[in-house]
Amino acid sequence: MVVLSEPIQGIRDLENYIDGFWEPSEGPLLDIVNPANLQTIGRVPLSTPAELDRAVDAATAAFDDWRRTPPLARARCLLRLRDLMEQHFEELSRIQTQEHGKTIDESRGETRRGIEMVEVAAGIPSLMMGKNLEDIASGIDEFLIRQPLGVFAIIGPYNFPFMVPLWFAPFAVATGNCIIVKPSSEDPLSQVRIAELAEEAGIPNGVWNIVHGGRDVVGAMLDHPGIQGICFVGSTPVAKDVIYPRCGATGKRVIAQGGAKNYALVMPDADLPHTIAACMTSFYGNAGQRCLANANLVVVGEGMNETELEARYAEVAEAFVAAARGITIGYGLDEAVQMGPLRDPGKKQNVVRHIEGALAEGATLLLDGREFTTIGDLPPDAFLGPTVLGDVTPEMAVAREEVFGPVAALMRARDMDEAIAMIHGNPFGNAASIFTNNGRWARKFRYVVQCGNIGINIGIVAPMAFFPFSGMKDSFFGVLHGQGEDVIRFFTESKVVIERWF
Amino acid sequence: MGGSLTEQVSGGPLTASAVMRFLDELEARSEDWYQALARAFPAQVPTFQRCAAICARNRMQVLRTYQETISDALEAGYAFEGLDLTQYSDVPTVAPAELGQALAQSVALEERAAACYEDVATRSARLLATIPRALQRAAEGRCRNAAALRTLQNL
Repeated sequence: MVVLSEPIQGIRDLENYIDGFWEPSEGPLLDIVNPANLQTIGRVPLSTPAELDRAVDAATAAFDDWRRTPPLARARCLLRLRDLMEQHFEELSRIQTQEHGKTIDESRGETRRGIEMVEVAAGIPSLMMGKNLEDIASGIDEFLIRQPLGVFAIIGPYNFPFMVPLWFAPFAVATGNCIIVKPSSEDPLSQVRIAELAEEAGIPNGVWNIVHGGRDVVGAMLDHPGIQGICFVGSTPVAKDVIYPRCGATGKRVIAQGGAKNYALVMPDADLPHTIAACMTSFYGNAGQRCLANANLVVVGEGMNETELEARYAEVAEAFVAAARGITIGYGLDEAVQMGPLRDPGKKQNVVRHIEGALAEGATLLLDGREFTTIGDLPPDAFLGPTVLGDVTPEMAVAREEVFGPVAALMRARDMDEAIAMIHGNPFGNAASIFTNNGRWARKFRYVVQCGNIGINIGIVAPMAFFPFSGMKDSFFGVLHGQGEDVIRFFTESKVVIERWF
Repeated sequence: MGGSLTEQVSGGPLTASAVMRFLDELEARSEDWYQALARAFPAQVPTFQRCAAICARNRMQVLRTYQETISDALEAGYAFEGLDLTQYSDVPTVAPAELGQALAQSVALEERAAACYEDVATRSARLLATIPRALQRAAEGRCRNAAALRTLQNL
């Protein structure tokens, strides 16, 4: 099998991108480590609040010209950015594998989804149109105009370092706003490359800025009076207890997407081979570090007696374990690899703790991911094989808490109502899937389940760029979502004009 | 990319990336083969160059389709279980002295390539959407090549 070449060679010290120029930060530098081989591939600064201030000043100064730039001209900038992303498709993908660890197929999928955001945002002349109605009263007309607001901050997570900031960035810029992106300090390299391409695409100075950093920068963003809104994707504790309330206190618009604990229901009539294939990707893709990953698989015995349910559970478990056991692990640039490492050794240890906790609570170990071999001679520190836990019950911590790793919890439910009650007993509401050929069951699931993204025979319910990326309960804090029509409204004020001429 | 085509798809499960790389290399090496034949048999240049052009077009279209649809294809790694690409990996490299032998080798190459595309398309049909259609089109191109070469054989 082929191991692809690495685009990042040596160690690069990253800089902030402010007002169209790359500037070294005065803050300390953190190593950026490729989790597959533990090689340092760069160093990222923890920028200072003063550097954020400069970026906000630059973005604020750029805003007036940018909002007056015709939407079609703004769209052309994005179309050029899109073309450059296509030209650099493979480079962008391999950077993600190097900085994050995911497989090259997963990285290419992420690149494609990111480009799709730019493509959809380039339709801004149509997307941003307002509405009007003549004669709301005699001789009086009313108009709704969508206007940009100013400067937005985008705080990205480590699990999709390329794509997630693009859920927001191109839409913010297309609507005439200016942005400050703070990439994850764990894997910021692909956002740096995007900013370089944005510059090459002709997006004016100050419109698209990058400020690296950690909590200090996030805190400064939340408190900064020059920032109109925050887009955040990360953990629920931060989204719920920090981002959302602080934005409320400072009067900012907010999209705060948190964690998840997604259920997959396998109904008695599910097409098992296709269900298992979908589940492998859903449970173990991106090494389980995905807010849309399924984590709990419930074998539902709708219409079955207890003996039949046990037999079905055993059948599903056997097929699931057999498929999971075959997943190859290693460096994502090796084309023989189906699952890469966790983002760092600490995250692996956290997942291991969840596995040990589940076993202590009575779960059965059907496949132990702590025992694994990798393709190639690699340090094992961040790697973990697929784990399958059986006989999991809803009250166990592994069924309730977000593990964010390659761990599947297999559960049973007597019927669909019991399975849905399990979903609703969970504080999260990001996604849920059902595997069935029964339209009535599928409709009931779609209608009743309180999750933002519903999959019918789909393992990863990832909304396309022209639909909102939904989420409910402890998975989302805000009103309007990222992507689609929602995000256009998020980045614009709805101004109403009522007009009469004497 | 160095190494034989067989080496590139041996030693591990076939991910979507590995399958697409194999098809890319298959077309690149086939194109080289037809260019070599065009140089060796000047009287048959139009036929061999047409064959080479179809290989180049297949290469571009398959890669483009993969890159444009890979976000739908994350289950693709599991679509190719059991696929044995080594049976399709033989691409001749040195033009023989006899035209008859060159045509026979070429027809065999085209039949192998078309069978390869059919095999990959069938296995991925239910999990992927656009890629199987692109593969079917590539198979059709290879069948056209085979037909043109057989016509020459029968002259």
